[in-house]
Amino acid sequence: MNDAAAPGVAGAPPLVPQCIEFRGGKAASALPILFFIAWAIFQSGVLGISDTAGLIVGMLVGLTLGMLLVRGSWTGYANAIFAGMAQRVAVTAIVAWLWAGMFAATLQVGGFVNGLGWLAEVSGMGPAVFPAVTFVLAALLATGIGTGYGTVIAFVALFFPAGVVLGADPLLMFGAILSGAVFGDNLAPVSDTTIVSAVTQDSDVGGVVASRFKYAIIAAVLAFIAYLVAGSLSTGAAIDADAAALFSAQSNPRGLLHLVPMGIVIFSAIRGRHIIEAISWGLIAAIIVNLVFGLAAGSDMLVFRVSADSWAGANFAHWPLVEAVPAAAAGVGGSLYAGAIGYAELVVLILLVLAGAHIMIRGGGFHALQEWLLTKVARSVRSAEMTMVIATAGINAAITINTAAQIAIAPYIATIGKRFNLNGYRRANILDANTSALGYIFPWAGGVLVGYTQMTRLAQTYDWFTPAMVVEPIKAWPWVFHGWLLVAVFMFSAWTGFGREYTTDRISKGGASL
Amino acid sequence: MSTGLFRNWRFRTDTPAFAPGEVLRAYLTGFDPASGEGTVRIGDTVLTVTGASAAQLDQLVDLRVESFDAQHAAGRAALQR
Repeated sequence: MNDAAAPGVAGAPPLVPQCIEFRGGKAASALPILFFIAWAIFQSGVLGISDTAGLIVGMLVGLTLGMLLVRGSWTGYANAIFAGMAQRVAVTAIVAWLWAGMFAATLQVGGFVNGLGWLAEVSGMGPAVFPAVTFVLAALLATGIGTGYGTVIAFVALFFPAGVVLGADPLLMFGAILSGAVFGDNLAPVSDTTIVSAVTQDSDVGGVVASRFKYAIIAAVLAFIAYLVAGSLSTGAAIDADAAALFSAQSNPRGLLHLVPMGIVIFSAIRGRHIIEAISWGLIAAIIVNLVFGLAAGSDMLVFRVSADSWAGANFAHWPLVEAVPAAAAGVGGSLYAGAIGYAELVVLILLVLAGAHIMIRGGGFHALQEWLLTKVARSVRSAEMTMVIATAGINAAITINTAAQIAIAPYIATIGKRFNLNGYRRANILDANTSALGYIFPWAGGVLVGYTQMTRLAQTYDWFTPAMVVEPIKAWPWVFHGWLLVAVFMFSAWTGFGREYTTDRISKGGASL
Repeated sequence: MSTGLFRNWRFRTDTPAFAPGEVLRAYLTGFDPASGEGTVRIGDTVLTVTGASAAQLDQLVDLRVESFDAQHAAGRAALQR
């Protein structure tokens, strides 16, 4: 151990020259980000509003307030906002999200979740094993479509009532669904967090997926066992035959055909194909599966809705992929549209968060915080990795959308990790696992809130569903076994060196150039 | 595929060792303007590097290990580029 030789050297020049002076010193450069964090806590934590667009306004106000503290001309500050938003990392992530969004939505309109429902039904499972199987199936869906939030919404809508109907514990069911979302967000090649973790740590998506498999699968096996044990210990509820029949009617084995496009994406990404290429092949396969097997019509994937009263309506309404609708409903739709546009708000938010982080860098606040961490906290590789684990987990307490949290903390993880020559894969894995996990554990986290929101709507769908069956967000956190176990696996790894890779062992693709 | 998924299921030491003559590519993790020497820290192993400059801090550099003391996890290396 060489604790005395802490990384970073006194007298060395700052990584980025301080270009913007603030009233209140370097710390004041953190105002836009801190204001955004406070806004996020108030909006999502206190008021319980899980609205990405609301966070955009928070970041905009923070950036505007920060400008008022600048000494001298505001031009440098304004230019720094542009420079922050124009970073290649943002563009790379945004482009991948757009493709991933189209793919995920196309699988969903093809009834992939209904296929999983059929699988659960034919296996004839009881309430004791239902939470464990729900975890596995949710993990499978989330790994395929890459969106934990989408998985939570789909599974709370279909699997949660099914489990309750069978007599499974609602707390365990919600925890199992959230756990599946954590697994997919962490491991899926098309997950936005996977993409962000790779590009911010100089790594390729296939490489990070392959290298993080070991952590994910260890935590998942332990979580599966934990759900089996907890399921067998929990007391059952009364079974409603009508509700069970409703669940059965929605199941469809043909939905499992989407395992093919999902496999194509995962296989291509792990084989090192560009993520755009990998998802494009999967998307083409998903469209073919939907059309050939009648899982979804062409207009479910892309539709031009023209006003029935217009010239276009009169002439094109009979064309494929064109529908005549009332003028107020005119527009473009379908899974390709909804999947890509579904990321629009997150795209804007990420650009603004990067601008706020860049202001902090140019104002010197980033450098000051980083040096404090490196000289006072992360003095050995163990403490450095433990700091990275705790920081990536803790950031979700403040920034409740896990992708945004990951982007905010990514530059710190890159710098701390590089100062100990941890390679890009190891850094990306620590970054993604813990932000993914806690993003579905904190009661005010976006992933928990979307599930809760969906659950409160179940009473309108099923007569038998009572308010007592709704799991309050504050009660769900102990039952997200995979999330907790993933954090535990990384703490164990940081302490013991399990899975650790140095740049001298292997340099990640994307980080190899001098 | 399986090779990738099951790669690196192992415990890696805090203090990796290197042999004299070994060529490495790693981040330059420190630079002391007073002595003109750089530092490459790999885990808790520290290599003192000659021939580096402040501009290379946090950049990947190629090194050749000149000497290494495994007991103290420390050594000297020369910058190659």
